Amino acid sequence: MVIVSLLFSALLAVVINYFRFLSDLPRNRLIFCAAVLVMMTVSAKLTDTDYLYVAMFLFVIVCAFSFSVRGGLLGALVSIPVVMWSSHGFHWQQIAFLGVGYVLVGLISGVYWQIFRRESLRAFRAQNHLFRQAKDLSIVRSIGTALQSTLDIDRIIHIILTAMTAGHGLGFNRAMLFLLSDDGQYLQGKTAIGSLRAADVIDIWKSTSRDKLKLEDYIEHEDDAAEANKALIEHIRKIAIRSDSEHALAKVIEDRQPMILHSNDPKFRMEGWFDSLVDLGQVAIVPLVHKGEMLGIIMVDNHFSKQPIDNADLERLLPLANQAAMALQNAALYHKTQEMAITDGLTGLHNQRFFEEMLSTIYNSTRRTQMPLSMLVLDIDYFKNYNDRNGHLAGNELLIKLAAILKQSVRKEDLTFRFGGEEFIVLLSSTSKKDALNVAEKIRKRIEDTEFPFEEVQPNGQLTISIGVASFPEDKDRPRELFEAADQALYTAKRSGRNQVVGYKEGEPA
Amino acid sequence: MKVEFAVSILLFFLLSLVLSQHFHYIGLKTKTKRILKRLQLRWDDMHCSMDHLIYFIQLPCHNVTIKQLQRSDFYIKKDYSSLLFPTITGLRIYAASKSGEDTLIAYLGLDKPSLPQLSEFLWNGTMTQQEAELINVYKALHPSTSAEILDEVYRTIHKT
Repeated sequence: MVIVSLLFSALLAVVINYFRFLSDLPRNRLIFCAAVLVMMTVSAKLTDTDYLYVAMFLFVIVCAFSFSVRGGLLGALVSIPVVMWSSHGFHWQQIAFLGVGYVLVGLISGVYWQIFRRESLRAFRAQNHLFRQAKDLSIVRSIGTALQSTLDIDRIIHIILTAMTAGHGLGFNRAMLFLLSDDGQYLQGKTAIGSLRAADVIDIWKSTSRDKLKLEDYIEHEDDAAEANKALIEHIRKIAIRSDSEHALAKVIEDRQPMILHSNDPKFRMEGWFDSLVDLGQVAIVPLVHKGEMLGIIMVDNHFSKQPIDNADLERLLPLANQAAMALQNAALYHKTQEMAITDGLTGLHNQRFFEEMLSTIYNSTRRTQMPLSMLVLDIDYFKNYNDRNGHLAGNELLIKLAAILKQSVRKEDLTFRFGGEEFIVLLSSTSKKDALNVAEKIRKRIEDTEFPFEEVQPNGQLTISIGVASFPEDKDRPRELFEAADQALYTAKRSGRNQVVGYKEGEPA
Repeated sequence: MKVEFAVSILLFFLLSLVLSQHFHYIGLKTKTKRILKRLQLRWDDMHCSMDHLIYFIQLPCHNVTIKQLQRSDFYIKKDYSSLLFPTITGLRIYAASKSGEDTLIAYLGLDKPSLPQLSEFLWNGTMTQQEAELINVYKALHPSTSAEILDEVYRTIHKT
């Protein structure tokens, strides 16, 4: 019978453990507790022992382990009749004491396991929190490295939004960027990452997990991302919110504080096309602020997974938003500095330095494409006289006005430069000499017909310019020679009486 | 007879403790097969996403000691929360060290979904969250996934 008992226990253990894991957890626990009771009762019978009442304490502990205090007490209640049924001459007082003992053990072990579980859960949550922080740190490190490699504003934005949405990043379903206009009046939708419809997320996630893409891969494939996010980007770009309005996005600009809200919030409902941002539910909005300057906001949501967004998520977003603001401002500053380095401060045209840099570049490009390139060199007639008679301030005003006319007289792709005090250059790409002469004449006439302040002091009673024109490949095929040819033509115009356009002719005296 | 009685009880509990994780895995396997059959999904189509893998070493990795390790030096330890009613919460990826103190390299938590193929069914309601979590855990425990995870970690460490 001893062998039978051992075999029975072993067999029961195997069978019960197989079947209990086919059920859900509560049933699993119930099956196990029942199995323990059956095993103890049968083994006690098979081994003909009087110590079942002792083993029932273990049964009560198992019930408490499975179902906490409630389980312990129920186990205690079940144990009493079992012991009564199998008892060998126990007095009722003994059974009563046993009952009290079972209840106490059930209570104490139930409380113990409850506390143990609570502490374990707490430790688990703390561990998860630390792991999450480790991941966030890793993301910030990766993004920092990526941001250092570029001053291109579009790329910076792509890096930040990718970090917020990629699974290897913060994992939000969508991120949308709105930038403040230069005058601070409007918050304009700029770009986004994510899909317009929640259902589109599935295909994207499937392909990225199949291809095992990492955060760095998402960042590298900027063009693919732009194509995938096209619909959402187009939608976002239609959105412009007044920064002094009552809209939630405007409030974030004003308060410079992040917020979480639902798109059903009355502060959020504004203009039909915002609501048509499909599947918009709960959103988190973070400001982009650097050194006190407000640049815009980023809005994220989980329109697909419907994962709620909480304050912990805001905490994770803010470091990235701060990095974004810093990178954007640095990039803008860099571009502004670059712009200033190549721009004439007075007229806003490109400066001589830029002309020297660009001439070879444009020239090489036209040589490759074999398209004509024309150069106009302009000089204001009797500018020294104008300056001496009217003062340098008036001279500056004249230069500014003339530069504006020049810019308006050419195409967007043409380049205008202030070359010297009163000398200007215009580069006309894909323009033959004949067309260039027409453009030059148009400019000359416009200047002649425009009223300039104090122009009556000029020898002709009005302000005029002289223009020299030369072209590639018709006249010259080297950049420096092209300039000299146009300059020579200009001098011919001056010698011929000024206020005229002269095309370069080979053989003319310099 | 009380010794034999005690031994029977001990045997029962010992076997339960030893077999619980094994039968837990079998239970997951059986339930997963049932669900996949219902949804007409193939196991081979389940690609585990490594999105939620958290690394505890700096990347890119410049640690010579770690970079010198072979693929076989990396192993996975499962994070079980209980012996009798095992619930797996994550996978820890360690790098064995000659000094005896192995290094925790990465961790894959199982609280977030990592099977994009299931997301469609969750989205349209043909699968419950519990079912998705169950398949998620089974996939994580599957030997092929362990190999995939270790390959992924090894590859990431050696990526320049």
